[in-house]
Amino acid sequence: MGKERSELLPGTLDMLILKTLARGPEHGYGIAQRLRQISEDVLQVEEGSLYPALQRLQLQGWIVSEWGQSENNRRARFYRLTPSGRKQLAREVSGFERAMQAIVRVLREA
Amino acid sequence: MRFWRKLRNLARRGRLERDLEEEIHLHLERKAQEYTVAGLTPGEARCAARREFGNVTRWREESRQAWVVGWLEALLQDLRYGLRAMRRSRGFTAVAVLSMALGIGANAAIFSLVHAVLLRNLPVAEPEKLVVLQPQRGGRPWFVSYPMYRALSERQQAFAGMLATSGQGQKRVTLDGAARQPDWVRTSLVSGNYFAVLGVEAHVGRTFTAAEEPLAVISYGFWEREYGLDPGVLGRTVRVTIGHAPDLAERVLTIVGVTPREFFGETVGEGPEMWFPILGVMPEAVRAQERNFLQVVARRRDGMSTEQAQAATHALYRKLLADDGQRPEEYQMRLESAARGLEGIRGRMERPLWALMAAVAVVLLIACANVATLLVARAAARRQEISTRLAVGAGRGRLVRQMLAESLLLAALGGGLGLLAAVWMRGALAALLVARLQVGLDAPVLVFTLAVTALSALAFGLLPAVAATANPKAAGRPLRLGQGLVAGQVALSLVLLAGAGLLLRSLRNLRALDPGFDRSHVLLVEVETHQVLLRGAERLSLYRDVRRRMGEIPGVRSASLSYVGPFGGGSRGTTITIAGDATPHPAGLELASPAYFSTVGMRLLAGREFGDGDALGAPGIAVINEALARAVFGNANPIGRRMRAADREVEIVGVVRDARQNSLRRDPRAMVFLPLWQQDTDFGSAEIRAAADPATLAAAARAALQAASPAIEIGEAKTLHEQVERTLLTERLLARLTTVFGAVALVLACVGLYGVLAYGVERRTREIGIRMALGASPAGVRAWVLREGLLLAGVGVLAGIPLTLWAARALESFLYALKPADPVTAGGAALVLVLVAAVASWLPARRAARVAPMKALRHE
Repeated sequence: MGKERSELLPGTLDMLILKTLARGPEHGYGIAQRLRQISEDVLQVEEGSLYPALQRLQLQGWIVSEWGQSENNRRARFYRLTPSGRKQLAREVSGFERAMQAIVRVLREA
Repeated sequence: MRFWRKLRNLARRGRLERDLEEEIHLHLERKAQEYTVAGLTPGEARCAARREFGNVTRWREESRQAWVVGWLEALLQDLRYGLRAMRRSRGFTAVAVLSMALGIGANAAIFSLVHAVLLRNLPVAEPEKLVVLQPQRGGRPWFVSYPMYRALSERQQAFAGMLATSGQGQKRVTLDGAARQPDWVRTSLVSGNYFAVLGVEAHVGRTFTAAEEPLAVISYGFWEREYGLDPGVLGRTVRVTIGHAPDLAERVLTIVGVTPREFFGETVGEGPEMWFPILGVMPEAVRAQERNFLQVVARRRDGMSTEQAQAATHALYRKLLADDGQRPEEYQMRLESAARGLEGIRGRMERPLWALMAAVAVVLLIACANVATLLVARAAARRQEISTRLAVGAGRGRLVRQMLAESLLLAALGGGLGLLAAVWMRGALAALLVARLQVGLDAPVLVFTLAVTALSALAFGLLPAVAATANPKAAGRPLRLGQGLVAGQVALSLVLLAGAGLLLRSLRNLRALDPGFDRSHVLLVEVETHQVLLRGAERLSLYRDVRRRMGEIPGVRSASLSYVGPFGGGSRGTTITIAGDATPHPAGLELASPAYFSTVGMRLLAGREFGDGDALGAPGIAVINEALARAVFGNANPIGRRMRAADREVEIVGVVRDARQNSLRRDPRAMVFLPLWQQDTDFGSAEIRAAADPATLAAAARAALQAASPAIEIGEAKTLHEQVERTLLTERLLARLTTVFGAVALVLACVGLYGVLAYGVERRTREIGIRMALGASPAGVRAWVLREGLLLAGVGVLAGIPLTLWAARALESFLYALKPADPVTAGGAALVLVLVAAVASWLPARRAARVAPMKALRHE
């Protein structure tokens, strides 16, 4: 593991899950895989933390789940973004970007 | 939305668990597979997968927490924990639950009475619109005749409907086709629109539609008892005898309906079993203008206030009286709400019931203090566990919540048990009030009990829980809190005991009183002769017939009739003037038949009593009592003097001893007695002096009255002793119940005292051991613990004395020949408390004295 790993910013896990699911339905293991691949192993999360987050998002009604067949023909639970989840993702992304820009400005100026 | 999803999740928890488990399992498997492909051994791969995943248990826990309602989950957990704790200390649980059951049960029972008698509306349609038309004549309650009711009803415009009722009487009724015949049936004569105005629909069949039909409606209870709920009862007939001997006639009435189970008529405390239309049973009432036997209830029209209705009705009533040739200015018409039914027993029970409610509230307070004391002692014993949990980071709020959950469980168990006890007691309580009451556990009673239970749990749970989790440095605090609670219990117990003592002693004072007549061997039969429509000589011969028939019953020494009768409940007033002196003297008036004084045992001091010849047409005579003789004639002999009484010239022929009239509490008033035979009027009471037990003659006496004239409505038959006792109903009820409550309070306070002392001894075993090792004798140690117990009781008694004095003042109106601040009673109560406290302290003291010094020193 040559690369330096970085802790996830607090509160961003939900947004990342939503973003991952925006590309299509996926099961828990698949979400973990994709997060790792896309971030090129930089974002470090304990994979177990996905599961409480998935439960929370379901309760909010932003994602729904159903059991289906996985790529290797195993029974797996797939999560899918709902329309209100899509809206929530947009809100979170724009809020996050605003915050990031502000932080970057502060880091540059101060 | 989220809350509902969570609640739904709570229900399908099992599936959610399984799903999560499968998901996590799959995840770990795939991950391990990935590492195996990368070249790790299966064992290493599994380890690596787990490392990447993190703490499986923790993530599983967190996922679960997401899908359930946090506080609900925590509450369930707390309750489970509470149940475990309760199972662990069974003795404590039993005492606590019993305490609460006593406290809550007593409250539920008394409240169910308060609710039934004082608060509950009639079970009819829109009861708040009902008013009773209360006529008054010369300031006293009056009744109306059927023609007057008819005229009022036809000419009024303030009401949507107006009904009339005779109230409850008793009749001999023959049930056709029934297996057995009931003894006496409680009946009520009502107008044809009675049920329609009340808005009561028949449970089975129908109610009345017209005024004259020979029909009957029966109560649900009667239907159940006499007909076994047989729906075939509709169309069956019952027969009642009407008229006067020898012109008796039988009337056949058809049962057309059964009233709903909860319906008890219009008067709280009564419960007729059969209703007849007035004209169906006594058609002649249509013309009987002088028979004032009806009460009128009306339903207010929408938008008409009670004041407007009263003004209109009063004016109409006076106009109708004037049309009849009466003196309208003597009469008044008042409207009162009848939402909760006609007064019945309400007036006389109101204050006693609230007093009892206060007493049971005190019992509950003591019970709460008791459980709190025990909780404090137990929490102190669990100090180590609690400090450990606080130390490892348990929130204080969470711990307090956990202890409160246990209190809630204790209170709920106690409340449930108390409710059962209340159900079991309600019959006995209704009987104590000598009334037909449907004391039910309806919604308001249940809500009240629930609220009391929840409040109790808070009351006894909060203080100990907060104290137990407080700064551990204040080690002495729980013990001091426990001592304070015990002293408080003792103080409150003193209030109840002293109250019970005051009530018992005044009851004894009242019973020891000489009422002025002889209450043994006398039977009274209450009668109502409004439906007797005879006049003059015909009436006189009926009355003579009644007296003769009663006198012929075997075992009867003498029989008499009177207008009110001893302790008959009513009274008539009049004004006396003597010839040659215009000064009016107020006096009570009683009309009495021959042999009245000897029958009820009022001693004649001079002259004679009335004879059978002192009748209509004979010279007017009177008997007066000592009080009147003294007031009018001083020391002069009144026999042979003439006076004017009740608009009539009479000669005084006798003087009798003073007797109390309707209440043992009131001193005898001046009385004048006139012969009933000379009055051509109603009588209300028949008296019999029996050779042996008068109660055994009741059936024969009623039969004799009924045989003379079925139109004589017969009320209760009871001995004069019972009649006098009945006026002590409130006193007896209060004295008995407060004594029971006082005893309960005493026991509870002792349990508290014992608990605190035993815990203190337990905690100081080491100290006691050291003392004994240093030479203290077992007797000295015993005395030390005893002294502590007595000190606590003493402090409680001292604190209770001002409380007792304050509470006793509220009881003043129930007391007789006794001051509220009676030192003997308060002192006696205090003595009882201290003695019992000494007994309760004895056990822990003995245990302390038996401590073996060496063992004690090794104790910790």
